[in-house]
Amino acid sequence: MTIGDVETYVKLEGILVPLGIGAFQDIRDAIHTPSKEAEALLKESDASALEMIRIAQEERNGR
Amino acid sequence: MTRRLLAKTNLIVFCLLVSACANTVRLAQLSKTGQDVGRRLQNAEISAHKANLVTDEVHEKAQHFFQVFGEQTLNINNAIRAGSRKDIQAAGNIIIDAIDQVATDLGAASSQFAIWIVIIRSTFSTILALV
Repeated sequence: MTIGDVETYVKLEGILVPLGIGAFQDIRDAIHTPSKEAEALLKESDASALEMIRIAQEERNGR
Repeated sequence: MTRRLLAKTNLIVFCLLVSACANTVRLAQLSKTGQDVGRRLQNAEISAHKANLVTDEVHEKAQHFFQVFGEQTLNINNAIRAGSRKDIQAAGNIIIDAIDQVATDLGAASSQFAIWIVIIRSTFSTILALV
């Protein structure tokens, strides 16, 4: 199962919600909200990336 | 008939939801792994440059790479959060290109650098393969 399959599902949801199957909206939101585990990993990676950019800029400025 | 159809739809939706969450965690793990190895490489390169084991020219190219790498990692993380396959691919391709540009210079400076570069490249290639 790939993200492409999820995108197909989300397109399907775009058709089904107007027909009154509202639960699809909640499910779509859930798909696009990373789990707590994924979010924690991404936060650590973000912090590391920002630090990496800062160090690279300082090095390039000759500090 | 309608009930059976709804039950079947719910099952499909559940399977999609579980697999989508698992895929997000997998992508996040890979992104963090690539980032961790990238930071080790950056620290090692700075130390090597201070010890005059890496020339100023290579150091300059390396720092340009690390800046691009950091920026694109942030883009990949945001794309994973948004579930955007297109954005993950775009940022992943920029990282792969940047790695290929700097790989020869850094690889020549240290075999340890070369190994880390291979790990970073394969990590992001796997992310691209997954999406």
